[in-house]
Amino acid sequence: MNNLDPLLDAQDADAAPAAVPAPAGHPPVLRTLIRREFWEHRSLWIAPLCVAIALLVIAIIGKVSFDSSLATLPEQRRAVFGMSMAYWALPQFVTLGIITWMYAGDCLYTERKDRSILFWKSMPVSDTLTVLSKVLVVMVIVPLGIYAVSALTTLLLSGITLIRAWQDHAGDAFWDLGTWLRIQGISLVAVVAGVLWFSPITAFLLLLSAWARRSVQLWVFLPPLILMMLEQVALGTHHVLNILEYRLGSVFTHGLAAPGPDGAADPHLTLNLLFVNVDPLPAFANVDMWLGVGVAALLIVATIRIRQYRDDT
Amino acid sequence: MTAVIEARGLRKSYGSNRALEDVTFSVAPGRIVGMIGANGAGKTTALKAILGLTSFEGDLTVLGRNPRTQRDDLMTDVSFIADVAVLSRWLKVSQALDYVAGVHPRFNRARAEEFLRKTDMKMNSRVRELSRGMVTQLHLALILAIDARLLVLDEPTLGLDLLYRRQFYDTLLNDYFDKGRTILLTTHQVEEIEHLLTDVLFLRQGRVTLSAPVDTLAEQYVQLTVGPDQVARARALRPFYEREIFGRVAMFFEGQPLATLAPLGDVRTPSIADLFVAKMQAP
Repeated sequence: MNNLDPLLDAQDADAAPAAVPAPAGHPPVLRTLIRREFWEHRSLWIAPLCVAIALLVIAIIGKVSFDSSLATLPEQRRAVFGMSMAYWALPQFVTLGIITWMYAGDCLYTERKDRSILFWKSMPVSDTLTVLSKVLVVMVIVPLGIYAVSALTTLLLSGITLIRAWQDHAGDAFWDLGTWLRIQGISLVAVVAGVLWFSPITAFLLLLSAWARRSVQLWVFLPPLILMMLEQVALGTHHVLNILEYRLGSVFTHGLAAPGPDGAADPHLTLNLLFVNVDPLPAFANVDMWLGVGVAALLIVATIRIRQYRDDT
Repeated sequence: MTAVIEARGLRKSYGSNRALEDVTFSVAPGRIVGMIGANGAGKTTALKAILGLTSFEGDLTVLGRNPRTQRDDLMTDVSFIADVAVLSRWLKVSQALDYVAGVHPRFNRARAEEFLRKTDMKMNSRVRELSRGMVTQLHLALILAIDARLLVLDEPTLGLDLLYRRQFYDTLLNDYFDKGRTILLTTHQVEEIEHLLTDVLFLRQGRVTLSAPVDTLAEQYVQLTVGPDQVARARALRPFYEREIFGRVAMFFEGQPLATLAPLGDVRTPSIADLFVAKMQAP
């Protein structure tokens, strides 16, 4: 025997299937699977970094400064500051939406298209762990990573405006750690709420990417469109459309909306109230959110089942 | 002796097309089995069933496990090379090593690196930058560094030039194969591998037409070449296949004693390639 590993020598080839040495615990395998995702889908980390760099370049070249002429009271200045922090974070969250969509629709499809599934499946990795690694990437790691990049970006942007305020006397120097932390806290809760609210859609994309023989994106739109048309023709109602509209748009209008200020005539006050009262927490009390999470869980289980029966054909 | 693969009444259809019909065979440990069949004979389907990549009817046990429900566990002991094109094009050589090292408990990274050092592959290269031959070398380096008990090769040298094909099989025999391992392979180039097989398994339209150790073929099969004058007498002994070569007729017999055939012409044990053609074209 010329094998270097004594394992095989110890094993009688005639013996019944030997107790396979347990893989060295799940964490390392899972870590490798997650690294694999970032090797293949480099846009997962390149896109947010590009957006961050673009924002910083815009802030430097575009002479962005903090304009507090809108607000005079400290409370109002904080509100304007908080709002600008929130706006600067917005492009990152749009990026998050786009890469989530692209990744979820692709991550179990390309391996079949290029037949590499035959290689991945020749490794002792279960379909459950494979699918879970992708769920973890798209629903935990990327959202939190983008959140962190965005938080860091707003810090750097504040730094840029502060330096400019001191150097060029352009705009006001304003920095309030409390407000920044508050906005970051709200953003984090909003990211979690958004991921959970949209989880059935993400899971549906994962399922399609494991199932569709070709053109995943066509399958995303075709079934709802056909359902909507059938419903329109057969019943003359719009329930499918309403459900989709609710699921696609409502987390921001229903879940995150600030309670309307009662009889607020003063626009400064409105602005102020907006930030005092924005609270994504009620979204977690929405039963529909948890119903959606339940649907997502079922779709993920279905995705695992489909991947078990998939090869390169 | 516990068989490495035990298949009984394996069946599989794709729609109305029957890929496997009642396939029964077994593979003993320490053998190199060539699964040989024409295109569409069901070779790849059989291999996929063995690897847990496709559903099937019938009983199939691989290393004591059910490949359909225990694929991930089974793959600790089974390695598989499909054909050269299945490594992802975005994969870097170093990433391929990191990945297998990260997921396979029986991967010996140093051994794979040692193998790769003999090639001119760079750790930073991506699969898309490598030639077909180099991709195969990379895949082989990964697989040979895994201490598996069963290696399954499906057309592993497809699209490679002669030099790489030779190298592939030499490495397989010299650096990998030993009594504790079993190799099951399919290929179109029967002539190239017939010297290394210990067993053959012929598939024809989803059925096993021959399953035997190579060293017993001589007892069972005889190729008799006769001149025109002996054709009628030889035919009376019921060859299962015959073909004409330069005015003489080569006839293939199964289970006819050598002593009966030898007086009629030249007798020899048919090559696996000839036997395959005979078996495939026999009515």
